[in-house]
Amino acid sequence: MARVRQRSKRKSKAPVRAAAGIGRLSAVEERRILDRAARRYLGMSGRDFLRKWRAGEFKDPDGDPAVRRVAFLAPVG
Amino acid sequence: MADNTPAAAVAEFLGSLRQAIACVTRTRVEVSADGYRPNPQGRAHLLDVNRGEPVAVGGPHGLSLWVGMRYRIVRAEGARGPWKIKTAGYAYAIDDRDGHEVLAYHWQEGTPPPYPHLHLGAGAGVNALVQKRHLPTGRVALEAVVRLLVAEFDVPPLRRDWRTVLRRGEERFKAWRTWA
Repeated sequence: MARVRQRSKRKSKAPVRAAAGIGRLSAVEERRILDRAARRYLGMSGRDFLRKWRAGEFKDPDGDPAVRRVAFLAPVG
Repeated sequence: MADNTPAAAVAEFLGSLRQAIACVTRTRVEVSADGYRPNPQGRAHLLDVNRGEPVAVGGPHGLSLWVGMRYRIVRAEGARGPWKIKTAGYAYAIDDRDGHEVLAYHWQEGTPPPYPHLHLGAGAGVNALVQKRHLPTGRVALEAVVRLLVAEFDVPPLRRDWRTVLRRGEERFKAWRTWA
């Protein structure tokens, strides 16, 4: 007689299913993306961008495409 | 988008966007490391396309596309629940072959102005007076921008079924959005 495999009641440790074709950024990669964008668009490091952003040094940030893009990638807002 | 688990809601949301993007580019699409965890408050998750770089989409005008989205995974009531994705911001920009921004559809919670808007950039050939302005729009779906690229800017589609993909994605967007 075939044995029916009992479903485990233990909580599954399977990783969360990701959407097809969608990768995951590590925190380091996310910081690297911000840093690269800040250097490309504004000629400064990501760290410097964050410091200036928090100090309110960007006037009309949404009106400047470069600042807007970097800010979108940054952990701000 | 709504589903039984946070991860399933995200997978459906991202899958639809991934398909729209795949109509014009095969570049990578990625989310924050914690992009499948509920985050009703605090920092919104990032959906990144091409690691923050504009991606060339081909065609006679040599355009590039820059896409960023921010989203939250929140609890929802009724048919929209128990989990749904709430958009916290979007930026869809088109650059010319020299890297100048032609236009950008933008909205981000907590960042003024509070309404969705359009920027016309240096690449659009408009003067500085217009470049600094936030031209009001309704909420814009990524699918609409991809369609704009293909139908109006002659970007060659990478999928034969691009019309169907974009139509379905936009229908889903309209069905689940809570504001326009």
